[in-house]
Amino acid sequence: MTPAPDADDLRLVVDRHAAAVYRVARSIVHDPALADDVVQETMLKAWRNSPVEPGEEIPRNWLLKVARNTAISLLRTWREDLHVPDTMPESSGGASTTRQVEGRAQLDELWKALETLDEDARALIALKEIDGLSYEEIAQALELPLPTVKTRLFRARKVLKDAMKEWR
Amino acid sequence: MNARHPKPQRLQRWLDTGEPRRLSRQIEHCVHCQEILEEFSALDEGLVVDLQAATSSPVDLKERTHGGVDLRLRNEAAFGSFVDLFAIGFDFARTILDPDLDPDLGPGTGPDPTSGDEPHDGELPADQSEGGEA
Repeated sequence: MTPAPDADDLRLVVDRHAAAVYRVARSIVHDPALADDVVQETMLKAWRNSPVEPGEEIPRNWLLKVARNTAISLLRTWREDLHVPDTMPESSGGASTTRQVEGRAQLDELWKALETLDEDARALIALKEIDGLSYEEIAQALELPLPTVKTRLFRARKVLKDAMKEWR
Repeated sequence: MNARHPKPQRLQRWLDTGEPRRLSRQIEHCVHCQEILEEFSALDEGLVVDLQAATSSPVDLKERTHGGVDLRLRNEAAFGSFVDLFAIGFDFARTILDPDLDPDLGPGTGPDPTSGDEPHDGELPADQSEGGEA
């Protein structure tokens, strides 16, 4: 029988993985408050349904897969509640780091470009370009075939490059 | 792997359009084509920095997450207690108010639990049959 999860394990998962989960969540849902919800829900799911024994390190690929699925699920719920298909929530500007970044217009343009991509393509960009995962790790995390990961990432990058050409 | 590779211009067009599908299949199976596309699509450092800035986590993320999950766990525990209390109260009230309750027939329609007799299928209880005698 699997032992009950320990509260210390939950703290450990949060301390180790919250930032990476947040980046994936933010890239998919855009809104910082919604990204916070994704992080919290992902952490609780990981804590309760961990594929490893208590005290052992949770595999990052598995955790990022949970984060991606949770983000997409919450984003779809948000869209259904507001009846706004195929859009991302506007950033509420709640994140202090966002306020500190110069070139707000440039970031807005970047978010617009990201918005033209689908959820998986945004997650691909975050996992590869920001978290630095290998193609193999991304394929596992997103449950996509390796060639598909590559071809979709190539095209997603091209979309971003074209959109940001004027700013470079 | 296909020994004849598409020209770089063709790969560039594929990046723009994703077409033709035949070329997509070729690219999926050709390491050489993938290497060229990797180079064509590579993001410059400035754009990566912008991406990092756009998705960077707030400095107090860990504290917020700890606080958020603690609150969720407390809410779940409180809701669980409420449901338990409601269930106990409901069962108690049901026992007090409906001692003859038969869940299949509804209140007041069940056989007398003290009689030991139960009507068979299609047979009316004695007090509902005509003539009063069987």
